[in-house]
Amino acid sequence: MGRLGQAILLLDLAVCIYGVVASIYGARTHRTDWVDSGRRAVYALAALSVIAFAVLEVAFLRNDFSFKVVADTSSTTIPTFYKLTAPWSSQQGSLLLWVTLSSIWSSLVLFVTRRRLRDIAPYATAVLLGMAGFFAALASFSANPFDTTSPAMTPSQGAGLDPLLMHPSMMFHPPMLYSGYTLMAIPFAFAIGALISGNLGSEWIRDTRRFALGAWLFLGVGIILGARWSYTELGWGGYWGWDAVENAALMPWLMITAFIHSIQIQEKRGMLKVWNVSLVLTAGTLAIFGTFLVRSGVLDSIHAFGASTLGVPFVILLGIMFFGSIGLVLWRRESLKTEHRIDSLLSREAMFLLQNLVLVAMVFVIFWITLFPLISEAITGTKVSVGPPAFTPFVVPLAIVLVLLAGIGPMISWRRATVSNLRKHFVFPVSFGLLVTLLLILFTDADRKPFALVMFGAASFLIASVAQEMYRGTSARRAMTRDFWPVAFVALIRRNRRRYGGYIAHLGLAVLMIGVAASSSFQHSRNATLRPGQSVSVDGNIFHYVRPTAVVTSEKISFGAVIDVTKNGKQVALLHTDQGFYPSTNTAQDGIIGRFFDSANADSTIGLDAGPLRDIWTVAAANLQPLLPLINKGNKLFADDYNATLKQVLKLPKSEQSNALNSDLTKSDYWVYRDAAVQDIANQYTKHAYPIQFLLIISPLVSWLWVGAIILAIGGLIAMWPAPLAIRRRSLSVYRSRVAREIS
Amino acid sequence: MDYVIVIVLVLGVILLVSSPLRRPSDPTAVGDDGSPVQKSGEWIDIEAARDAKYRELRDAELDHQTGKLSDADFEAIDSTLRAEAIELLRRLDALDEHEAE
Repeated sequence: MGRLGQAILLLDLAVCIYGVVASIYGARTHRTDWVDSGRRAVYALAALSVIAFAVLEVAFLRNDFSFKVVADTSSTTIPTFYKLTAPWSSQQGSLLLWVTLSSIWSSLVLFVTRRRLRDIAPYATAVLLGMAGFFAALASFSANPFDTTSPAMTPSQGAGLDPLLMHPSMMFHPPMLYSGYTLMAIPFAFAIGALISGNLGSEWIRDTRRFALGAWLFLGVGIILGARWSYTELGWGGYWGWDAVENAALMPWLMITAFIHSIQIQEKRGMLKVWNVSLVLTAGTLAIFGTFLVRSGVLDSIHAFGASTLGVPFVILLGIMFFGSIGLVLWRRESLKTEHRIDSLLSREAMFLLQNLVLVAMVFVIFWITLFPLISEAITGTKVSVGPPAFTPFVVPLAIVLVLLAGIGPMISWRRATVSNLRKHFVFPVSFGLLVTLLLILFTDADRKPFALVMFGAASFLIASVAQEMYRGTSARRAMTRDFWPVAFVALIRRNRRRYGGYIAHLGLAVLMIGVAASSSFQHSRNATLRPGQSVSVDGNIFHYVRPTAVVTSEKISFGAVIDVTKNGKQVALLHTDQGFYPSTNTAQDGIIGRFFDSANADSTIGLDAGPLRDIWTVAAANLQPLLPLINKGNKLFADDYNATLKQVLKLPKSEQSNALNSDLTKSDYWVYRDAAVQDIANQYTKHAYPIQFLLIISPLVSWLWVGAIILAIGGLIAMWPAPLAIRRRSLSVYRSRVAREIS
Repeated sequence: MDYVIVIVLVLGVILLVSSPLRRPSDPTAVGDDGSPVQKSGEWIDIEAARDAKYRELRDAELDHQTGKLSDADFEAIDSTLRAEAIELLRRLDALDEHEAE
């Protein structure tokens, strides 16, 4: 099967090269047969990549440890669910996933546009195949997921999946991120196609808008799933650490957010062509830059694959994308001149432009601070690491302005707005925002964190502005149709999905930012070392360590703690947190018993009581120090026994030794005694009152972050979903007939 | 077995990507000078601009209905947009006549 996978990867590469050549030849000679052939190469690539990925999945499901990647990242003891997700936990498997997703999305866009964009699509096809070919080449020659070992060297057991990756989010987080990144290549490729062909109207934007929105949606969902994973798995209590890889995903997301807003100005007014092309080219380049950070190992990150040799090819690709993009924009600068100018600074166009500038400024700040360790290393020779404090002074004020603009934009009409109309629309949202701020100052201690307080006010203003827009729109609809409120509301959204989907996304942004501001500014946390029966107080909540727990399964040994949380004498929550120890494969170093207690192979399960107003979050680090003498004693006893059996076996012919060793050990119940010893040592943990170190956190409104993200995604889905054909036709025909009447 | 699968895949790919090249060329798809005879790029651009103009008309109407545009502003914007839409329709008609010739 390994050879089959390797052959398919080479075939992938050949198809990419052929498709690039056929597409460009077809475009230059106006030969539609060659253009069609190039497009079909993308379909072929998708089919081949899906088959290759299926081969890899089957190898994981069958525990085929002759595949190096299966032996390195899986084992017979991990649940089937995680065997299915293990392929993308490695550099090799994730490269193949990239090629697969990229080819599927590329096939979709080229199928949808097969009868349109005839001058742009061939160049876009070449770009898409070029990028897919790059990843296929890396998978073929640098990090091949189908590399195998000889039967003699094939291990009977794999090293297992990194315990930190055994989390439900990991099923969806990487495919979502990669879908976002690969979808981002689509508007990028069509922008390149538009620049090369010189067809710089809005047609390519219209046809790729949904793919840009798809990139925004998938990348956003991927980022949030990553944040959720960090919050519930990494054991530090946070969801965003301004880590290089987190930032690498956030930057293209912010850029594509700017793009999906500003393209509306080009579609409506023919303005901002240079800006839009630059945004989408930058977003595409940043997506590859993010991939470079994850795969090259140039920056330290818990999300990265570690050191690799892929850095140089990525730098070359980034150079081609960056300088090629600049060259194309300069070449077409005359054709990119704007058709109109902004009529008024009090218009939605002006607000969109301002919002775009804020988003780009955020990307600029995040980019340079993320790269600061590399810059400092280049200049001083020392890699200076920077953390959240370096980002927040810049990003927080910009985020507040962004939230305010998200509230202002929907209340202003296109082209122009009058002061009296603005007054009429702003009275309620501004009053609501100010009222919330005032109430927070009067009844809470929110004023001790001024930025958070301003964010609460700004987000309240945004929520009120969206609510007002929904109300006014529904009222206008009711005035025409006399429908009931809910019917009119649903009809309003159905008929104006793009507009009201966007407003719902803004609402999600407000809810999310309230969660972020509250949880990051008003979190109470405490590190405490407790013995069973001891208590500690955090923000008025008493955390009482009730008892330790120990559970031994074939998969792992979990050492945990039961914690009773009370407030004012009443129980608030009964939490259980544990640390799971997965057996290591390094018996030589860890010992026959010690390999079951290897802290380098452990993950944490947090104790969480999530609520609408606050989360109670706990984690405990199992204290195995007192068990070490027992573990060492067990290592020695079992090693002696093993060596004695081995000594007898070595007297036999070489071909019989392996089977004889296994047979003798099984006959003497060696493995049964070993498992009993492990169980006994684990039981000691619950019989003694060992002190344990806890991290205890009370964090307000964290749930708002997840709920806000869900609302944001629903808004994006509504904006992306095409209106039924009948509604579109009816809607256009109304205006067509009105205009036609005037002609006659 | 692996070799057989690879050969089948290679043949499948060759068949798929070469099928447009094996078809007799479509005389309606490409003109004598090599340019496509279907709707021209300019026609498609203007059609896209026309549809965008209709959407803009609808947005202006919604802005007016929700009170974001005063009656006077709406009248001015609506008439401007309709004039622009009419101009686009005329250009489309002219292109249709030109392509018919």
